[in-house]
Amino acid sequence: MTIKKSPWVSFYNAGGCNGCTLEFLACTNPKFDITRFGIEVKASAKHADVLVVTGIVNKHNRKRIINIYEQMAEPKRVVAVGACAITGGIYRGSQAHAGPLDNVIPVTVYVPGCPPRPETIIKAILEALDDKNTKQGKKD
Amino acid sequence: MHRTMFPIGPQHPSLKEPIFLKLYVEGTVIEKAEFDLGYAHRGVEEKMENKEIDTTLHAVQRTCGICSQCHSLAFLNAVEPMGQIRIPKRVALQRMVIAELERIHSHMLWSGVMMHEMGLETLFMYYMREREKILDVFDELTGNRVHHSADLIGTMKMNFSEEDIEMISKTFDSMKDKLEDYRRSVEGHDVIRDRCIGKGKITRADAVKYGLVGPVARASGISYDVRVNAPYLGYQFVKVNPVVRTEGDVHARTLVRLDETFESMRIVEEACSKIPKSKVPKYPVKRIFHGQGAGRVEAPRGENFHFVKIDMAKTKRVKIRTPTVANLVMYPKVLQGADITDAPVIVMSMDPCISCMERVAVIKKGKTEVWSSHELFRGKKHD
Repeated sequence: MTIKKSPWVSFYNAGGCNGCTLEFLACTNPKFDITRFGIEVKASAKHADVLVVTGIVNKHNRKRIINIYEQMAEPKRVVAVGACAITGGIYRGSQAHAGPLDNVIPVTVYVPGCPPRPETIIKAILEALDDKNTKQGKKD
Repeated sequence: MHRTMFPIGPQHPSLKEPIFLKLYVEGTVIEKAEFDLGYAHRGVEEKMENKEIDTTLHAVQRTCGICSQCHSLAFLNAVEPMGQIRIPKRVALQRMVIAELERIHSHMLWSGVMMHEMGLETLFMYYMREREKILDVFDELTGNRVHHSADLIGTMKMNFSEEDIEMISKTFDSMKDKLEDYRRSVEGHDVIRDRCIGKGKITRADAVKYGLVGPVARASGISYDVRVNAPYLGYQFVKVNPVVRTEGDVHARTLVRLDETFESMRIVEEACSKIPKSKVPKYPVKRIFHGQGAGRVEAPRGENFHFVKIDMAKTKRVKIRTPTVANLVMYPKVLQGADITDAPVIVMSMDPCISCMERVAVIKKGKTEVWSSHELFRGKKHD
């Protein structure tokens, strides 16, 4: 299934340092303004097409992430923002780390950086809509 | 028996950070408030064990995205005296400029989010727009918007040029009028006054008893500011006038932070004018092999404390106590008896920064409550 345009985004901070959270928040401000692309930040994951996850996945919130992901309706996409979400970043292998995000839920687009800039995050959200970037799209 | 448990978080629109608040309500009045932590635990301190000091500094700066510089300053305040490193005036003032700019951006972010909590989206956007200018200044000065990574042991990575200083004052000129305008509307706005005055009141006695720090304590009439009480770095050269109010409610906390923004702007301008012509020393200044020490600074949220132990040129232990830890103990007390509609405003008025706080274990005294290790990991005991 495809999402054509105007994705609604839900956001979960899985235990980051706030850096990526701030940059995601900056996307909504008048300078970067994601509403230009019809993107809207929604409170509940049930309303969202794209889930943006920042921060490391730790043992405590692993189940929460799966819970949030399962609440989302199909078609759904996940954007992993920041080094911590992709590999664990500087916290890789620490006592709390429970592995990269793509071990827990399928990730569509990765945004590297510590933290990435708001422009990159916006581009990633838009790229996540492209079917070619999903696993099923790659098989075709 | 509590009638209803009202959960907020860990994924919630008004909380940008993962914390699980459990509000037990009778009607709409909160009878008891509890919180469940651990969603942002990253093992920061564990990752700093047995690392080169420079590597540790890198990790220290990534403890918090909002007050990155304050963590690095507290760490350096602990480490530099071990090697008898004397900080030149230029480095001290430059570090201070970044720290104060950070306070401005943190307080503006807070003001924006606070207005968002009260439903005033326009003011939220206004504050976020002005804050973006400060981030542009960071971008110009250090090359990074969020984690500045400007410090090295005994020195800094850059020299501020004349143009940099001119850019800072130009940015402030373009912001000041607008910020004063917003402050007037916050002070006189009927909706804000109705939602803030008399809500979440903390008396001076309570603030002393619970050991509150930062703007929360200063709004309750305690004139305590590390910059004034134990001047570090460039605060010996620039005088700080602490902003103190006595009301102790949400409105007072809002105004304290708004006034501190202007005070920080004044400090930055004064510090910029005092930066000497000499350059920062070359890196590495000196290697540190042994020692232990503590450093404290005034972060945007209050006193930030670092304990560092170094052995064989490696950090053996770094203990971080962030201001949110000190202020967190007040939450259950201040939420008790409040209306549930005021809960987001009261929680936000304490300015929680969960990400840098997540290294604590709450041990309950009195009523015995035993958690199994499985429950601790899951945080399952939610009734």
